[in-house]
Amino acid sequence: MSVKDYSIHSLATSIGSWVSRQAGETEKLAVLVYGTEVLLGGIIKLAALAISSFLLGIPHLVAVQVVSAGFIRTLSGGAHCTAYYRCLLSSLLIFLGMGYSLKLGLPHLTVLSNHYMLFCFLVSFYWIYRWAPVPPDNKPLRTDRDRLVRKAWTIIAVLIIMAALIMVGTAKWWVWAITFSILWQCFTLTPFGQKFFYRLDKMLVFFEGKEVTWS
Amino acid sequence: MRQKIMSFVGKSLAGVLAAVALLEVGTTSMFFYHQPDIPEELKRK
Repeated sequence: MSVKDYSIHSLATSIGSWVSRQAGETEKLAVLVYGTEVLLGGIIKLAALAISSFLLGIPHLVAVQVVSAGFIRTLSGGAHCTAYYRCLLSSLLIFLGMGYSLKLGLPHLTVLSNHYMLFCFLVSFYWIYRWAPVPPDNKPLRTDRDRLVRKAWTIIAVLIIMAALIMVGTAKWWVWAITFSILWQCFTLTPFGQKFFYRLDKMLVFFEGKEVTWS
Repeated sequence: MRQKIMSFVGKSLAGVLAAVALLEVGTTSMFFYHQPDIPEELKRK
């Protein structure tokens, strides 16, 4: 059996087909396969992040970063990789890299004043105002109203988070974990962020063997 | 009896998976960075 036989898509197709047969809803097969692929992909990514962050001794930092970046991303969108395994690798690289850098930088960051955190949020707000929302190519936003509503919700969410963090102050580790994950997530909205993902995607293609396709 | 249990499990899972699919399509973006192909019936018109 080749690696291709174990791809997320083929596994999702098998599970989705089984569920549709058991439920007697064969007409919904495509939707069930899609739902399975999304769920399965998410579970595997979270498990990989959890295991590797435990090994690096930064599970708390990565957990806070993933939840806060994921929450803002659900509203604002952002850049995408073109295949599952590239997405998995880039997620691991980004969140573990950010978590580890934060672990090293925390002794210096927790003594800073609120102004530095406020600056990070001001940059985030500018990026949201300028470029959010960024939908993936296969889910384009059809109306200006839809775009405006999503932009507004993103700004409201970040405003509430910022107000709460300013009240808490910069001495807590999780305040910086949230601040940097939001800053990173907003960076993925910008043309630079999208170019970064495009290049990362292309770079990871380099590692793809001719007979090995995981997605 | 076994068939009834399997049918119940299948219907419950189908409900969860359909909800996940709708949630995914309804939001701007997936949690991380990859987008599987969307089925025709879920695409935005």
